[in-house]
Amino acid sequence: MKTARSRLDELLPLLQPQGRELHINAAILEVADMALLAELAADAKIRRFLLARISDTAALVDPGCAEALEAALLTAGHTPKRLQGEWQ
Amino acid sequence: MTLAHILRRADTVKTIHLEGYRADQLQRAARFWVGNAAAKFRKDDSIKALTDVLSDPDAGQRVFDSLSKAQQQVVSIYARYGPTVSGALISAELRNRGLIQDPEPGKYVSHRADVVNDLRDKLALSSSGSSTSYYSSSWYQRHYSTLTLHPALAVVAQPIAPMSWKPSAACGEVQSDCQRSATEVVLDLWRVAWELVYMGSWKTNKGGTLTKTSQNRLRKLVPLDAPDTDPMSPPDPQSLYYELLRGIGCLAPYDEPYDLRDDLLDQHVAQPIAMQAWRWVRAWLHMHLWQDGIGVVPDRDSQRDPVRIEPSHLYQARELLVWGLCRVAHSDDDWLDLETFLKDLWQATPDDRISFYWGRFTWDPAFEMGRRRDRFPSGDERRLAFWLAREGTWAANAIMVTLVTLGLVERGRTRDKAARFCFRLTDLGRAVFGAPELEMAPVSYEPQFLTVQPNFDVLVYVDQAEAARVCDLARFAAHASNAGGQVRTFTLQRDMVYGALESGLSLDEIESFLNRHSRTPLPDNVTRMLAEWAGKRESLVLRTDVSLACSPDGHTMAKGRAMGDGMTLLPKMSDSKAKKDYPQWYLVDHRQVPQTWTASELGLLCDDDINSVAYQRLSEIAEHAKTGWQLTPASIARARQQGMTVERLIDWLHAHLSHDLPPVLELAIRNWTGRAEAFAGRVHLLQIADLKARDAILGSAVFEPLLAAHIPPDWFVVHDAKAAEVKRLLKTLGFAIREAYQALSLEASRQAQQIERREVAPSKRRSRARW
Repeated sequence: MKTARSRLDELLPLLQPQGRELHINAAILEVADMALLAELAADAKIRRFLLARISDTAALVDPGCAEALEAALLTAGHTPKRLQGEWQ
Repeated sequence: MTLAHILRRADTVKTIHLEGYRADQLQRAARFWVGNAAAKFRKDDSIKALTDVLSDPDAGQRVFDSLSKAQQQVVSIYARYGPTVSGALISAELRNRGLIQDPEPGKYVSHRADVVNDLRDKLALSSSGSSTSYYSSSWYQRHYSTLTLHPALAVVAQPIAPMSWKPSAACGEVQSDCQRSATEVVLDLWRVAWELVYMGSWKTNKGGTLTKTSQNRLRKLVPLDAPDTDPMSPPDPQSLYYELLRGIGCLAPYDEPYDLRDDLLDQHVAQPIAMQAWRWVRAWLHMHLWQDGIGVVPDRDSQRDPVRIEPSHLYQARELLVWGLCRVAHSDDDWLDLETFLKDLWQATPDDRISFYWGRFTWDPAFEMGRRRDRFPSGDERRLAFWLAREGTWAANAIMVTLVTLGLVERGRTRDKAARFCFRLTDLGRAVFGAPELEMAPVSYEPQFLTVQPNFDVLVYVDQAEAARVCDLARFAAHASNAGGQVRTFTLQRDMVYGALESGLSLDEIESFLNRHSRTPLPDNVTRMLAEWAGKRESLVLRTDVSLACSPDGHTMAKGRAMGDGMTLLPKMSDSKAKKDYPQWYLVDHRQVPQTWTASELGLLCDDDINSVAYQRLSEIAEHAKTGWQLTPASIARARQQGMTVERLIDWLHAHLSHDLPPVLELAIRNWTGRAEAFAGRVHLLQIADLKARDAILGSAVFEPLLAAHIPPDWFVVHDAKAAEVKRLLKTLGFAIREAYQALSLEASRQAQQIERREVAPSKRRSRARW
């Protein structure tokens, strides 16, 4: 039986930095728990806007797709809290 | 807060352009302003003297004191409405204050005898536009142009006292039909404004009105229309509110609005209700693309085929109607018979009347006199009857429909058998039209104006609620219905609460608002659900414009927020700051990915300068190869299973490639997703190179059952089973059967294709130009 993490690895692999990288103007999706991230990654209409996972509860959004991801989340019935420039 | 007179123009005049006057005109004016010393002034001297007057603080009072009583009254009228006053308005004022009379039959009135003309000659009044004839006789109506009071007089003159309105006939006992509360109006305005925002964008016609499609969208989103059976509902009510929003400056830019200035709307709604209504009326006075009793009209005029009331005529009509209503505001709070009021207004404005060419209105009051208009002999009565049937009907629509919709007028009907239409000003209308002398008494609103029900409905008693508070509720509750008159139903919905939280409200603020204004305690299930909705939002956070440091060695940074193994979230930073503060780090700007990929026609992708964005994308769409990455049907299929679309994949390639995407590769990607089909197999082909022979076979009944298709220009596909028969038939007909076919090389085909395109292109251009 697959663990939640292995399922998540399949659906949304971890980001593979090729060296020390600094991403600017990036967008991050943070969720309350791993199960919710797995649920989102399993939805193809949402997954397409997620580039990779950066932790068990956060994903890096594909560059330029934050607006589209927000719209897709709303369409799917989620109500994401949007924070611009807030990182803490 | 004291409101200005509703007809008072906002312009302030500090100078007069004297250069355009003749020397004798200036000399006459100078004698009036500085005394007989000016009798020998030349033009320059007069201009200097008249210019000095503008900076002399005593000149205005000195001249005002020297005026006759009638002239002082005229100046005071300009002080009330001006300093600039339209000709129609000044005519009405002078006539009704007894400052001008009609000349005796058959006689002219001299130019100097006219009190306005005399002041104009002395430059106490001046025209900024073209001069207008100001003749007067018993045969011609008196006309004045728009004139401006001299700045020195404008400072010292006190506004003249308001006039009251005395109806020529009393009104019977009246049963009220309709009165809208100001809160209802504000709420409708608010809803239209926010639905425009939710629409995202809307299209406008010339002049800035909504297109038919946008009107229909808005109509569905904000269903304000009354049932078709009610002719006294305003035409295109959503567009009325849209034009009001434009008029009060909440839609920008004015000429082609595409943006709601929500900050200005918030400021507007926060003002006292009388001020808000005052601004609606000011907007309505200048609103020419929504017309009373007509609705939305195009922004064009045609004398042959009019499509609207000409805007300047409409402005004059509204100005004179408002002038009448201002007088009503200063009279007893009695009901007025509509027909009597309009007849009295017609009598009160004999010089510049409400006059235009339009006769089709949504509501026809069918005035008794108007119905019998053809029976009157020529003369004033007949003119009045025709006026009532046309302009009078417009005025009826303005009073009984538009101004009722805006909560300024209450309408009713007499209780007798005739059931005549009557109206009176509401308290709000009295404050707006009676300004500045009349002020609205402070309204005490009921703090508990709503009830929250367990089914999430919120019943709002709008007649007891402050407009701004109902707008606060509308931020997080959806308007459900307006059935039940003064009771409106809102519904607490998850998406509305979410929208409010996103716009900056907190859950505590929503709950405390409901607790403060609800007549009953907030039901427990509602409290729980609100908390759940807010919690769901907190469980999913989308952060944009942040920076992320990624380190494969697991190193996290102390001054950021650790996200995972080697991942640190940092504040937003610019490209230059990132380069300066993190010189050893590879910079990936998500607004502009590096273009470092190369691609072959067969889908081999190489990236010498790979970063994690490029790596993730490549690993999603391609497979590892010996010398890079390879796009394959399987890799594309896998990507599509994860939600990737072909267009998005091609966009990625365009974004990362350092050169154009090879067309063959794009074609292959599209083909791998199953869009294009191809056939590759054996078929029997027949080639007839001779054109005459080809045409003969094309039209032949003998060949028809043997051939499957024609491939222009000279190929035929032969049915498999008929190949031998076709050969035999061709031999019979004398064809020499060759074993080799004739075909153009691929290069020759490309050249032929290019020549064909060049020949076709000019004809396409011509055809576009023609149409």
